[in-house]
Amino acid sequence: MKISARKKKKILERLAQGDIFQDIEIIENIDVEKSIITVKKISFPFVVCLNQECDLETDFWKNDEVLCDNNLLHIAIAPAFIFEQFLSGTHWGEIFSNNKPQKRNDTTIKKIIDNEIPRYHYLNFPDNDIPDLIIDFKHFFSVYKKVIYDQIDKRLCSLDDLFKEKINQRFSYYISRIGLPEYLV
Amino acid sequence: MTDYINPIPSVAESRNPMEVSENAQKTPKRTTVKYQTTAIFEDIGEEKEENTGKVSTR
Repeated sequence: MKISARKKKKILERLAQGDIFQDIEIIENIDVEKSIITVKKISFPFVVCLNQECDLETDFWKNDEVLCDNNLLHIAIAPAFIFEQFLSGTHWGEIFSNNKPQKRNDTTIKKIIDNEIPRYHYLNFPDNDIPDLIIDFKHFFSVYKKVIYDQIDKRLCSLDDLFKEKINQRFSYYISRIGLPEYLV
Repeated sequence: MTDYINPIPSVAESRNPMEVSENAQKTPKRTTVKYQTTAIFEDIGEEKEENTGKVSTR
């Protein structure tokens, strides 16, 4: 099997492209009605940073107190899941209903493992200290920068250069697709 | 001596890697927390005029 992920030995102090975080908590919505505040949060088991490396570096070295449009407001991230749970179809928990279970030798799954399906990115780590993960580009979202930096201790690893660049290359390909309508309205 | 435009990135101290158990069910979880106050929420922010309304053109 091809190795599709290798960890960096040295982790930067700042956030980097291809950083994988574990158990990141995101505020989904805040609703205020009279004297009641309802806060909805989602805890994601794994997320991967998708921002460009140069943008993250510039943002880190610029002083936030100086208003500068080279700084970042939000960080783009995509959720990742343990591959075995993706196969079982239960990887979204109670957020979405379960998918139909699939097997490793299914044709579609073989294509996913070979990173031939644009929506997904399969990560296989050679050290086996991290289970196989799958990134789902469809559900990418952005979070306020401070939310990620406040949880920087939850960084599982940083991916090595070629592997993180591959993720971004595939993400940009996926997000730039043009879907044509199947039926005329 | 060469002056680099960007400072050399600092490297975080090495620490024990986080562990991930493949058998553990790790899925996204939604939690809802409700807070109630006995007071009434009021906007206490001072209005700050960001846009002067003046249009500057060259």
